[in-house]
Amino acid sequence: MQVLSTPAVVLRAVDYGESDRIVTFLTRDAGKVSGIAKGAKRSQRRFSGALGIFSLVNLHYRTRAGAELVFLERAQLLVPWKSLLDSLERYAAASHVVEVADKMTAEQEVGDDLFHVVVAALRRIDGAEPGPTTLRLYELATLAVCGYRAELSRCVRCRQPFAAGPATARLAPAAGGAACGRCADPDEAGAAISPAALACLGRMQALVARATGSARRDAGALFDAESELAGELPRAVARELGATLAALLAPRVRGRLLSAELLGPVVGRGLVGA
Amino acid sequence: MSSELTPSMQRLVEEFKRLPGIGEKTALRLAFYVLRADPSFAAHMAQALLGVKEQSRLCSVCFGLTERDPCVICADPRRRTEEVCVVEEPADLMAFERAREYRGRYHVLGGALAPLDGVGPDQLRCGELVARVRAGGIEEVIVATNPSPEGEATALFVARLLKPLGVRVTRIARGLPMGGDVEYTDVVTLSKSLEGRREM
Repeated sequence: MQVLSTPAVVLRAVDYGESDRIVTFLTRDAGKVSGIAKGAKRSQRRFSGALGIFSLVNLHYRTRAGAELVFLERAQLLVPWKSLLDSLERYAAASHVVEVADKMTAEQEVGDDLFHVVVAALRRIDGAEPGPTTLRLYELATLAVCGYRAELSRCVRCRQPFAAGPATARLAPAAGGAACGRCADPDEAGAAISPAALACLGRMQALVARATGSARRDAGALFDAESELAGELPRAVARELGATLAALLAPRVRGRLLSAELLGPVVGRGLVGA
Repeated sequence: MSSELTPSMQRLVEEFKRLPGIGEKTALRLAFYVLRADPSFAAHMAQALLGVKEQSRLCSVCFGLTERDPCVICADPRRRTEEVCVVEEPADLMAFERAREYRGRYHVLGGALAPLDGVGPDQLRCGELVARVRAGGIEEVIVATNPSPEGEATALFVARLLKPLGVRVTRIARGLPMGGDVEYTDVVTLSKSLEGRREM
């Protein structure tokens, strides 16, 4: 069987038996792939330090007929993250990044957009402490590249722009955005979104469109204007953004987002989401 | 499973399969080994299995494995009480003891922060560690969690909990293992070994 090679990010890894590891990667060329790394804990040459969560590696693997797990031949670190583990905030943020990517995708859903967004987010967190909009930008971008772009600039149902005034838009997570007062489903009971939060989400959506749109796919640009966004952001609005994105993600991810749930109380819910 | 197996063999294979890393074939191989072995082997095995469940427990002070409480380390007056080495699992404590270098006490957390596996701060014995430090007499806490992302995050968390209590918190050194090979060492370990270099 031919050995395939692709850049990949480690999303999850669990020990198996005495020295094997089962590792799930988000690859650039083949989507999400899970495989078994035989002798991973013993091998200094084939997987040296490359199978920990968040690792960006060049992965070499073989598919096996009828097998769910691919056979991992070897992996080499492409980029050693220098500061990703320098603070609990960075660890929590990076955990959230890989968890969202993992829970929003199925095995071998092909498409490189999400891979580039994940790498850009990890690079951003490695470069500096995450700010209040870092993960919100990542979440909006992930929704967009997975085909669930959130509609936040106008009513997701009647397509009319939101009227000026206090909190006229309400969250409509199942519909994938915000709905106006007339269209909001009383059964959905989505929270009201303040005009300040809505304006910020609009600016973030523009950044996401620029970074991930078909005309220019440059995920690295996603975080370029982050300091401008965060600089003017009151804490209450930052919390509202976290709650809004958590609600929009909830119908799209499998299960609960554990990094936000378990580390949120330690690093602040505003950072990893409500 | 093969229908030719006797019910008792089937039951044994099923029980072996519940062990981590044991699949159908290995379980079958182990079951046939037991079948062919001397009857005393099965009796000793059964007694050992029951014995470990009946007699082994966690030390109420350090949470290491013991058959008496407190454990021999916590009860030993020659061990330094002012140093506590924090490890993830009882097996890590045993590894330090094999080195015969450390003469302080231990605290076993029972895992490492791994939110994606459902392990958060509440699943670790951090509250008990804080209580030990608050009780006084501890001057240094040596964090000896694994040099993995989960272990590093746990070390950061422990430091965040303990530093406000005025205790010295240190992290074990990281670098090249004895018998290792620089050529095949990953770049992260190499850079950590350079960061932690010492005057000769």
